[in-house]
Amino acid sequence: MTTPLDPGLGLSQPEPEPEPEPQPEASPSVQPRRPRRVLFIALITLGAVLIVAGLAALGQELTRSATPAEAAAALQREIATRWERLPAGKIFPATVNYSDSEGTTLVARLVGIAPPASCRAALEPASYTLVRGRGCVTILRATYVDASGALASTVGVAVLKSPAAAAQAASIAGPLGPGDGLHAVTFDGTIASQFGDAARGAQGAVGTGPYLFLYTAGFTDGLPGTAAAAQEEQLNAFGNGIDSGLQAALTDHGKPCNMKDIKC
Amino acid sequence: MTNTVSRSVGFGEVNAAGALTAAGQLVQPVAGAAGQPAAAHFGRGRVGPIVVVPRDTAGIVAPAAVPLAALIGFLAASVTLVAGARRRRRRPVVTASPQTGGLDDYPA
Repeated sequence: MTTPLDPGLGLSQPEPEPEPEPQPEASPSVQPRRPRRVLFIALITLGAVLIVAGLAALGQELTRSATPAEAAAALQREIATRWERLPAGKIFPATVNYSDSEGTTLVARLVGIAPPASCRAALEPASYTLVRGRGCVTILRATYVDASGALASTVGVAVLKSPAAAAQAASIAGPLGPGDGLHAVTFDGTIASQFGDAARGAQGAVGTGPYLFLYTAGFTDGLPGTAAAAQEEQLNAFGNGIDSGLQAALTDHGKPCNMKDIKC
Repeated sequence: MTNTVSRSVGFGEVNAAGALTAAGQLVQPVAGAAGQPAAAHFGRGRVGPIVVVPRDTAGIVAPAAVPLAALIGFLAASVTLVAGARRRRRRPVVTASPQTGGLDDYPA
């Protein structure tokens, strides 16, 4: 008899321990790939964000309006170059209103406009020291006579490098004598043909913007400067009055962006 | 005689400004301004308008460089990603484990 556990059949032997089912392994390449993919996606997202941000910044830079500092700088540049932009007749108009020493408003008339001159050529050595080293580009000059035709004044506009330079130059111009300032410009064949350097009885200067407005005044009949200096008050009122009348054309301004020669 | 004295001109203290102006007109000092013509320009002459917003170079280059760099990075990342995906697709897939045997594994 065989027992059901007869080893002769070869089946009664204890069965070997079944080997554990092999667990399906994760693909060896998937595990390290995931962080790399996340990194790529992050980089792509970052790239897209930066592209949009950069384009937005670029668009803003190209379409933005002027800052107040930029507008102010443009205005300074416009004023500093206005002497080149305006025709001579706008800088030195045919008539200029001025107040005499008694405060009466009168009209001065233009005799002539001189060609632009170098600062050294247009100024006496004493007054040249005022502008030397302050970026003096040129001096524009014209001669006017007063309402009666008795007084003459050559006015000059020195173009300096900055408003500060003009203010400094004006502040040290005061003590100079009547013959130490601007050279007079004589126009032959006019009522002021006798007015020359020898007839200078007063001089002065005032700085406005980057311009130094100078004058030298005397009598049209050529009265020597020493004698003319006795009328210094009258001469100064006349010269100062013309200088004041000329300042507006070169330095007056409105809002920078509303001005003709400024593009905002 | 009539009209020899004009009250609008006056004399000295009466109407100083009128007297001076009338004297000036009598003298006729200027027939036309001498020297430079009134229409002439000094210096370089007509100068172009001033542009307030000069679009400063740094203000443009910096924002332009960022998207450019980002674009290059974006393209490089995209190319790398696509190339990697293709490589994985081409690689043969392992379907069976060498441990999964049949009855042959048992001793005869």
